[in-house]
Amino acid sequence: MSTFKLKMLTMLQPDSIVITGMGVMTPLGNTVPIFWEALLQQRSAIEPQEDLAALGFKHIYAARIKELISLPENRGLELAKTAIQQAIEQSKLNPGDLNSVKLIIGTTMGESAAFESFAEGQSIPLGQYNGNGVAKKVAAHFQLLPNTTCVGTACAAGNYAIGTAAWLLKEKKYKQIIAGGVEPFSKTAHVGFSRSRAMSATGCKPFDKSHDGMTLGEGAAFVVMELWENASKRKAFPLAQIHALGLTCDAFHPTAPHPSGIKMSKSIYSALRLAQINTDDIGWICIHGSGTEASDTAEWNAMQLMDKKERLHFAGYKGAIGHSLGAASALEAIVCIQSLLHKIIPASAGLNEPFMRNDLLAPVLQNERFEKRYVLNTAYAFGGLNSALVIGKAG
Amino acid sequence: MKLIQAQKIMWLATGPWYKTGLQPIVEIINNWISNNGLDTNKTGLIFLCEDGGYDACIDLWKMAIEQGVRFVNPAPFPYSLSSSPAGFVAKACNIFGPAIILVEKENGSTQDELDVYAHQIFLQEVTHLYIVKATLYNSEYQYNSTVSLYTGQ
Repeated sequence: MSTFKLKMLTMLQPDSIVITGMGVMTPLGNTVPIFWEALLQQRSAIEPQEDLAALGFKHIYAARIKELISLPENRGLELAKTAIQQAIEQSKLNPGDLNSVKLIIGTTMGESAAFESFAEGQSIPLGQYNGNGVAKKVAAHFQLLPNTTCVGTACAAGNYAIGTAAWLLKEKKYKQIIAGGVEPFSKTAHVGFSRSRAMSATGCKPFDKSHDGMTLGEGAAFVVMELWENASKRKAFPLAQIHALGLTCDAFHPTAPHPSGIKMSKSIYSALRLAQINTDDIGWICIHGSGTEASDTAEWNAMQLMDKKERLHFAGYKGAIGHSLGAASALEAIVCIQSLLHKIIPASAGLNEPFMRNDLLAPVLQNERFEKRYVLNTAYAFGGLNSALVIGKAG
Repeated sequence: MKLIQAQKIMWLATGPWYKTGLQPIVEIINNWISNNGLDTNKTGLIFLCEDGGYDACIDLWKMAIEQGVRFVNPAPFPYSLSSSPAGFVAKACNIFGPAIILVEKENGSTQDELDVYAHQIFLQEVTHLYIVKATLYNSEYQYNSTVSLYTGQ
């Protein structure tokens, strides 16, 4: 047995929840390695969109996937299918075993283009195009278990999907779960954010002094999750562990976070407590970082409230790929896993000069190496939904 | 987990819920909070609803077409998301614990899975949990919901 495998066996317990496959569709690349390399090169996919200009939008910057050709009302389905296919291949799941695999999808609106068509007068069965409908179609395509779950927790849905999948696996309800998030570009959301004056004029710059709002994106990210006792039997390679999901609710405002960040901070503490670690065990925080003043300020305050002795590094990537709503925190979870595998934190996208300063909070302005075993993926959503997911090294 | 109370309700609204509110659900929960002396910092919510964002989503896009994307009133936008009914109830009832929204029909999730979610929510310093199952989209604005209250013991 190799030294590496021996080390792996000592770190993982039979009931450890491991990731054995990942897949993505992003505006910066349609495989995990391409996406990762683009982040390390500090590229951004945010650019002006001709169709948004033609529709009369004031703010026309967005990050979109150019390579995917699909009917508008099936774009989410196609994004999810492509990302899940990658995850299944990497996990080396046998096609014959897929019928025992559960699917948990996180999304904000499902296929919003279908709802737009319905509003324009087309006869469309809406139940087939909400998040639940998308999940059922994906499950049918891969012949997964039909009892899919759709977590509709808006911009934090990816974290919720992965975290609740870990809960079900821990109780041995399923052998494997495919979990993640998907969101096709939504004109409805673009209208909503634009008219709510939440949109950036030139592309979002989360936590930067010049931050002026968010930029919409689109994408999909999925992982194959299973208990180590099961993964090891089928000789699947563990990429990372999912340790704990902490959740709270602001109960404050339909769209704005509570400025104090208190409940955000409590979701982080809940996750750390359940994972039996403390702040100083965290290598870095993958921030929500939407780029709006209200959201960045609340999140900054939440990080300030964290009890720590060492400098806490943080970085976010919506400045590179935009805000893909229900897919966002699943995509960011993939970045966390890649960073644990490569021991590198990619530079925070769009952040040059931090909008606030604190000696114990360190923005990652250039790619940085790190050695710690844990990363915290935070995501916050409309309705005051707060989530923090502890992801750890597998070996 | 142990069921304390459950109530099934139907109500006829004068318009889509995002304009008329979810008062019947809110009243039940707020009554339970005051009657049982519950600490809302230690309450959680699981909200099962497939169609909570439909009306606002459709209305917003209709208005965007009619009024233009630069001029449309964004008021329906926060309620166009699947999560919006849960956010509404959490705010109205000060539910500060975990809130999970499942986009599915009333009988979509198995009780087995709901038990797992509830168990994990109770591990997050939560003593009481509400599970709401609601149908919130039809042309008659005739809504129905089942509201249940559980403890972790």
